[in-house]
Amino acid sequence: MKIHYLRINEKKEDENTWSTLLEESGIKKDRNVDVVVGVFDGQECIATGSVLDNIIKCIAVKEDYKGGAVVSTLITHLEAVIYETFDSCFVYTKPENMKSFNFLGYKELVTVDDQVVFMEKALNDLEVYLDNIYQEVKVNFSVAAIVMNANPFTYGHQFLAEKASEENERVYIFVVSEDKSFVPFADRIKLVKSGTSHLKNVIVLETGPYMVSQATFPSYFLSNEKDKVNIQAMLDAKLFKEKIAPKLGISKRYVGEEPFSQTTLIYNQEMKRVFKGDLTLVELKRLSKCGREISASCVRKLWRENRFDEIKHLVPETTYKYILSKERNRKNDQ
Amino acid sequence: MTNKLILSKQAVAGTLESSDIQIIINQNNDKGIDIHLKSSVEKQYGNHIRQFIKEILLDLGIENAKLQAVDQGALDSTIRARTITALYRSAGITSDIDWEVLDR
Repeated sequence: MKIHYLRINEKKEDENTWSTLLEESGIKKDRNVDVVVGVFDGQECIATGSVLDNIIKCIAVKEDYKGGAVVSTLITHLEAVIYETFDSCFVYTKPENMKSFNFLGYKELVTVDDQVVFMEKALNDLEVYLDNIYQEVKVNFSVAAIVMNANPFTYGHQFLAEKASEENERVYIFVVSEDKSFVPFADRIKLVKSGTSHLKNVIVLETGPYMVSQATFPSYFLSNEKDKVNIQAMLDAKLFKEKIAPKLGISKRYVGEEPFSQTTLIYNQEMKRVFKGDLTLVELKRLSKCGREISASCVRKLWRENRFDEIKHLVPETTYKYILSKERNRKNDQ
Repeated sequence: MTNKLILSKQAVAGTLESSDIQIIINQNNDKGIDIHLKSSVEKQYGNHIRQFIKEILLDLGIENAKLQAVDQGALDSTIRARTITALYRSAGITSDIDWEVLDR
């Protein structure tokens, strides 16, 4: 048995081998990968698996080689790639493979539609994440959650936070940890904290990989993956409903109505559908200034166009000061 | 006598293949030794493996560690070798490794 990389972007032969094996196994080809590995028996490629950041996906094993040493060797190699950079491993696979992955140290996070199971292998996993943020919930204590990218934190975000804070005993604001946005995560969470410091029952936390992440919802960060959005939104919503909300006693999730982004619109719809009965999705009309709903994307557009005076009434002072200081630093570097 | 081993980052040793054991280890502040085991022979040897790994850590002066082991039927010698390797990798040490632990 030999293992080597399949250079799907450089060698047509490798690309063909990969495509054929995936098609035979009924696995959808996903080009959003960093590394593709092939397991060979002689000249024949009998198994493949891919890695994107710390996520294993697109696993296919020829029928005759299932249940043997091939999977162990394949996964060991894929994990080795991941462990060079990350501490945790995630995997997307078919639900029928879940038991096999349990034996390899993976725990189920969420299963969607009987089509895909999302699993995690980590010393500090979801259970540890939740234990670290858990706070006792008293009876009849109303706990709400907001998940926001806050790229950057606007009056719109603040309005959502204030409403939730008024209507509940405790509010968790989860700031998207994934650092793929215009404003870096460290700055985004700082602005959320300073923009909500006047709300004593608000706790600001990071999402980690468990909400709107590359792992749970990659198409949030890609503009052209329309067909995947639904299933990913479902996965993200289900994980929140089944594992995160119950542990923290969350009964409501607050979102702003989505007039701008198709992805966010689908996300809100999926949440409403998935949450039905167990969790309440509270959709608030967006805050408007001068007849236009406030949005972070609008703020970013104005920022790129150097229209700072127009930004001033769309964001809290702390955010505005931050934007100006970033602008000053940028000019100083030039 | 070896210097005190300080776990500084997550480290991995071993594979998921038959007869081997994969050890993932990292620091655990002051929370003691926390071992999670997934073993193909849990019923017969689960407790022994957990205890054995703990003894190796204690013998090397480790009082706090978080460890996950995925075992596919490894023998004690394999368990010991993989655990020691993971430990030293976590401590960033590549020479003067004490392989004789528990064998004295």
